[in-house]
Amino acid sequence: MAKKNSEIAKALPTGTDDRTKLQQRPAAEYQYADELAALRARTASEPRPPGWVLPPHAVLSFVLGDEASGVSPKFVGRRSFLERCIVSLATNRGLMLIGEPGTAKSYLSELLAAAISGDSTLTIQGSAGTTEDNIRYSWNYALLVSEGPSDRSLVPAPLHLGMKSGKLVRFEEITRCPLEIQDVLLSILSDRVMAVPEFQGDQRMLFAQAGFNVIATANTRDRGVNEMSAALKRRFNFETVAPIAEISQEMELVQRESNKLLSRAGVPVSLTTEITELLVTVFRELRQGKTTTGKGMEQLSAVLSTAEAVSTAAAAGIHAYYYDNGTVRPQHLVQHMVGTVLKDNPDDLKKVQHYFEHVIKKRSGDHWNQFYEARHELL
Amino acid sequence: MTFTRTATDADVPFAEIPFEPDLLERLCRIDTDVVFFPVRHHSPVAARLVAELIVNRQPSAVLIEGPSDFNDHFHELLLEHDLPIAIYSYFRCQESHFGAYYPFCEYSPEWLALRQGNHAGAIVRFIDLPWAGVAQRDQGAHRYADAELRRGKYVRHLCERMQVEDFDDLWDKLIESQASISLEEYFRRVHAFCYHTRLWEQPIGDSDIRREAFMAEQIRLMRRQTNGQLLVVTGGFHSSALAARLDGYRCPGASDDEATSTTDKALPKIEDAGISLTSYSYSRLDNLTGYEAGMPNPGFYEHAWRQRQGAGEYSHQPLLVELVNELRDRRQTLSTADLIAVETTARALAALRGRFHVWRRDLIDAVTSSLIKDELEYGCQSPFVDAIHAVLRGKRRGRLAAGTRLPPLVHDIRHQLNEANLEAKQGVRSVTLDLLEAEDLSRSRLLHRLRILGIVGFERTGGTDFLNRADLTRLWEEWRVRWSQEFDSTCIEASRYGTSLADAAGAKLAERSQTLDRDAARAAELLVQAAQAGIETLSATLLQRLNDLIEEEPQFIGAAGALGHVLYLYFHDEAFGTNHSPQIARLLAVAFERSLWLLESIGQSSGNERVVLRGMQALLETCQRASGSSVAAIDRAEFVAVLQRVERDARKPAAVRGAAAGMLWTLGVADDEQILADLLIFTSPSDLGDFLAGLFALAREVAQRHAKLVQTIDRLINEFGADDFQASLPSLRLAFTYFTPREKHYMLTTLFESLGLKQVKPLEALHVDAVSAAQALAFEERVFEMIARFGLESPPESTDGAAHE
Repeated sequence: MAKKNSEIAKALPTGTDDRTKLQQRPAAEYQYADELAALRARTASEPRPPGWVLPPHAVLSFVLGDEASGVSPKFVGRRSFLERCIVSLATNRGLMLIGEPGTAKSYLSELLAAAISGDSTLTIQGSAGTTEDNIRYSWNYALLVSEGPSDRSLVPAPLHLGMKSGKLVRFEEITRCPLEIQDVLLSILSDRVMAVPEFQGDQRMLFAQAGFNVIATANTRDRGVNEMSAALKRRFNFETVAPIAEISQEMELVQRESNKLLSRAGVPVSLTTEITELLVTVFRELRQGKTTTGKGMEQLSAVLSTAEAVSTAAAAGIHAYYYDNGTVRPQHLVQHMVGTVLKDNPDDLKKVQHYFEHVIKKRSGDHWNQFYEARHELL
Repeated sequence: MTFTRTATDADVPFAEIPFEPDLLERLCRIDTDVVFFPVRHHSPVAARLVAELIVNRQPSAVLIEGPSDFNDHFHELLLEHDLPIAIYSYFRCQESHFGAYYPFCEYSPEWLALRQGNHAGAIVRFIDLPWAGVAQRDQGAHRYADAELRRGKYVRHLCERMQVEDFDDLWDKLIESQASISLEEYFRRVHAFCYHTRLWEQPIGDSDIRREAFMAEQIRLMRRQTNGQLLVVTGGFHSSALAARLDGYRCPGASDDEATSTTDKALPKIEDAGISLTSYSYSRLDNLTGYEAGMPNPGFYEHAWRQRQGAGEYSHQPLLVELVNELRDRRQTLSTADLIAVETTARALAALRGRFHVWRRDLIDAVTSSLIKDELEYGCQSPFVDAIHAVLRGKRRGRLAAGTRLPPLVHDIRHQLNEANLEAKQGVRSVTLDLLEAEDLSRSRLLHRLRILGIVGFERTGGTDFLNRADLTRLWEEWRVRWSQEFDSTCIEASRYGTSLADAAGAKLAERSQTLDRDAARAAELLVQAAQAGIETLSATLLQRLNDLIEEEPQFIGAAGALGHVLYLYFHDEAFGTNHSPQIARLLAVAFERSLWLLESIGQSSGNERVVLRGMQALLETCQRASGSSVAAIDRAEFVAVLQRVERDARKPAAVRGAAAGMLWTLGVADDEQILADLLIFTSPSDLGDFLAGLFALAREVAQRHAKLVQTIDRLINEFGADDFQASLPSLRLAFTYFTPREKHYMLTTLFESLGLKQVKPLEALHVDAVSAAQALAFEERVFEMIARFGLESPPESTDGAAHE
């Protein structure tokens, strides 16, 4: 083991940290500090991969939840999928999470980093403007000129920090970076070493400490992983984050999250089960291109993730509260689907109209009828 | 392992009959006069332990959950078969055939129990109710699928607690992947698990109660017959009820009055029941899904079984070698580094899951994790995942030993060929059949069934093409019949599909339909094949599958093609007897609805308008004919609404809009004004022909007699300049091909009359060669150009009406 557990524990955040109280969204390791601490205490004597804060099965419990030890579920997904993700991080390959936008890839990578390294903040945000400096390190030029290359004048970027301290580094939206920037990871992932040619002697080579690895995320809509170099692909294990498989789980999540959003917005409205079911059914059918009875239909080009369903539901709630009597009704959903579902593609509008005429029209039940009656809002 | 404590009586919600610790205690004992051995069917660990138990305790009788009507043929099981084989139980009931399998592979506990029991000199009997007796309530065709355990609420609960995904993983974790497990431990775990499943499943189903009553009776009879110990080998779900019935414990479903006998309506009479051995295969064992599923990955469990039977330890590495070979066969590259990654990932997963060695799910997950470098859509195929599944499935196919009763199908085929005088003899003969003759028709059906089953020696060399339906003036077929030495072997091979020829052909078609995916046109071809082989081959499974395939079809052309076939069979068939059959009516409604749905989503340039138009013709015809018949599901108002939307949709191809307008016209919904107004939208040379093609195809009768329409077309074409006219010519030609020469003549007559030209004379064809025609055209063009240059062209009104012809 590279570091003693006690040493790692010292560096870990605790839940009582005052700084996080006013933060809009504290990092996962602060938000769930109590759960992490409890898991850590309970598994203190168990073996774990070098550099890991928690043993693999405790990481799994942290993400999926464990009723018995009071850990809340945070992510909905298949157990075997998560087991594969965690195991990948313990091997010498990085983990690449790919999937549609809004399938909680980044959230999952944050949870994994918080549970495994106790730190989810070593994050590189991939974009067309990402440079090598943002990934490896750069210099404080004033100090560089006055002192020459030294630890003081070097400004480390997340990868440098992660390698040095043996922590997970998150690389968000890696495929949005230019290919040559992506390939910076090549030697680091295979040889686990970063050269700092400005230094002399031992410092020239930064060897990664145990516990270092990379979780990258990429979404399949913008620019898929196809253009990624084969050499880099080889150094990652790929896992596709699927939309939630069970409708009941998705309903629960949408209801819970949208009610949370509404209460945060100071709107005392909550979604009924029928409304949630309607919304989730519609989103799922349009997303999968298949009705619940198995009829195929055309998929939309717009993204219909669970996150979109939540924001549609929340918008409908706010609408109902301020402009109506405070009860969310199907027509509110239709109105706000216009913003989420029908973004820019005129074909999508036709597909949705078609869906209303052929699927929704034939459903029985007041909600469905009202939903159908409100179809003119789409235009 | 704290398994027996994972659920206590306090956990059982809604229990009418509570947990009885004494009963569980009783079940776990192996020193009593009746020992209840709980199996999961096809579990290698259960197989090993049951064999050991028989050797150690030498019971005087071994009673196995299996069809008691096979007891008379029991000796057949002792022949030297190549496994997997199955006992196939079948019967006929009001023209429908039913069949169910009890499959055995070399690691089946039932197989080991009967072989080992026989070897030890014990009386070996099957004790379950004959399948025909429960089939009306419980139609599961795979009798060793453990459906009771799989669907239980308890299982879901336990999976969550044990942190596994599903029942198969749970079983692996509790039993199969244990490095070694003692008989006592096995009894404790499996009895506790199955007993709890039962407690959570109250009330117990009717068929289970009836079967258990029967089994308990068989055990009592045997107890009276013999003195020694009885070993009862049944699915674990039944053990507790049997023990309760015999020894007076309380257990859900253990008394007969719980059976709701009121549902016992007068059951149809069962005819032609029978039971026999048949060959089976791993792919059939593995391909089943849902409650029919049984134990997955037979190749994997055989591997585990064989390694543990031989003195060696279990190791997953030979499976990886097979995987590499399989991938090479599939031309996928797998580097050494990849293989190392698979191996390490598999081991790490096994460790994470608390296992000593790499097991089934670890291998699948390791391959998924380390080899796939792309987005893996849910439920989508990947060559790597396919390869690992192929390895875990295994390739074994069973063969019956010589001397086994020939499967009934072989007798049926021989008998029917003899009756029809179609037996294959030396040499080749040709048979021509007239499908309108009853005798020939039945011979044709026989031959089609043989062809579906792949029986060698019968070949259709010619006849009416029912798929293209080009020429239906004569319904005939020509077959070539020749003797082949493979005839017998293909008959035996086919017998796994059923015992009667019709039944087997139906099962084969159903199987073929399972391999299709979102393909309505191919589905309808299967339907035509079923019709050719006789409507009784159209099983409920096949119908359901065809139904699904049509509903999933993503393309209008496919769905409408299917509609065409179904329409023919339902309204126009003269030979097959499918005319107005209620089963076809359902498919017709489904195909109609699906085509209508897809019609609305046709995009701008489909490129094959002609096929689309043919599909729209099928739609129109269905709607028109259905209104006077019994196909109730077709909703005319809906149909009209869709057509109106299509007609108005500016993004649809002109031909489709024209066709929709034509349909509305034919149906009497759109009036003449509407059609003329529509026509004026499509005046550009690129659209006019397409629109007319659609209109003429669907409103052929009305269009040719409508003076105003013809006049308008005439005017529009006259307004075209030479270039425009040439550009529009191909599509215009196509549009007018929908009419016969006589109809074109009518049309011209209509035009001339409406223009006041009384003297109608047929146009004469000019006999000139292509070169002169081209020269004339070029000359004409120059003249027109010159006229235009000097501004001499006449206003369009005064142009001669027939000039363009």
